Amino acid sequence: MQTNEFVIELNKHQNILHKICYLYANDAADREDMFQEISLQAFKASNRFRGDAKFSTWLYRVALNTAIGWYKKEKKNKVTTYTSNVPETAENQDDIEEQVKAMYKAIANLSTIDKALVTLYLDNYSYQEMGDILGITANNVAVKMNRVKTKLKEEGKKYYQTS
Amino acid sequence: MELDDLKPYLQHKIVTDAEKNLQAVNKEMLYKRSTNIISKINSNLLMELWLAIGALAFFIYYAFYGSVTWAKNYILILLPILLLFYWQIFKFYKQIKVAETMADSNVLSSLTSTKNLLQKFIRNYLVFNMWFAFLCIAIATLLSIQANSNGQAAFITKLSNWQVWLFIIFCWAIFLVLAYLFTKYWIKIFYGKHVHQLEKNIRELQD
Repeated sequence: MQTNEFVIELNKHQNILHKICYLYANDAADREDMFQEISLQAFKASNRFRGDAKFSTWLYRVALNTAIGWYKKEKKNKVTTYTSNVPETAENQDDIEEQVKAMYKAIANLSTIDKALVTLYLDNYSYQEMGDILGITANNVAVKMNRVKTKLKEEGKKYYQTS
Repeated sequence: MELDDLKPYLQHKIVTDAEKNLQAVNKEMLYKRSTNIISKINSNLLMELWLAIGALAFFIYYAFYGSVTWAKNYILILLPILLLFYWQIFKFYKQIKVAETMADSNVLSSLTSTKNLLQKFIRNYLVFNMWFAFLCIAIATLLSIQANSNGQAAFITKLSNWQVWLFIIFCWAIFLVLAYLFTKYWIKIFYGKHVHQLEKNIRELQD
């Protein structure tokens, strides 16, 4: 794949990168670093993209590998905060916004692997596709997803009540 | 709120982020230096390579222009070791290039191959450092004995004394233990946390 062609394709799918950076990085600076790193890794691997899988699936694989292997010195007392951009459609806007925030907080506290599952799940990937990207079976994905959903429900509720 | 309820909000959030154009892929971004663990090892290897080149240059200079002309023999022993060091570095450099191509394989394979490569690198690094330290210590000990001997005959006489050898072996043992501890500490500082993190992620995926 030519560089120009790759840049166009990557820009078309940059939402994937934004989503992963948003869920994996702690702050804007980290998000920027991670975004660059994923782009770089994808570029390095781009000559091996043969089009057998969808570009988005291929990009997910590179992005998750980079995000999971992402290692940065932990900043002490770092609290992840999310700015709210919830659409103005619900009647009880404030309440939903609080619930979304609580859910994001719960996701931020998940392990790197669970975050990968959540990212793919939120992007409507099937368990089979998730398994292919992660290198595990669809059954294993299903078991893990159940665990994650239960955990998020409980943690989300806890964060919501304390907010 | 359930995880499924979050789908529309996350999409909206990301679209908003993208709209703000906080980040967009551009060509310059693709030519920056990578910060992942494999690239870090790669740059560490390059640093080692330059150190080895510096050491080689020093030894060659000392062998041919140094005041102690008889040091040549020892330096000639050291040179193959340094050459072996280069070979090791290039071998790893090649392996790391292969590992970099794992970026688009599935997550479990990528993590496992990175962990295996890292552990192999650590093992070899430790073995080689110990061997290199041993040779340097051995040469340094022999050089100091030679410097304190009046001529070649006295030097050989000293070496034939078992008490001198006992002292030499004692010195080697002490220095090797120190070199081992130092290398282990060095490895732990640079790579320990990475290996631990990789193992944790692999365990979690396989669980």
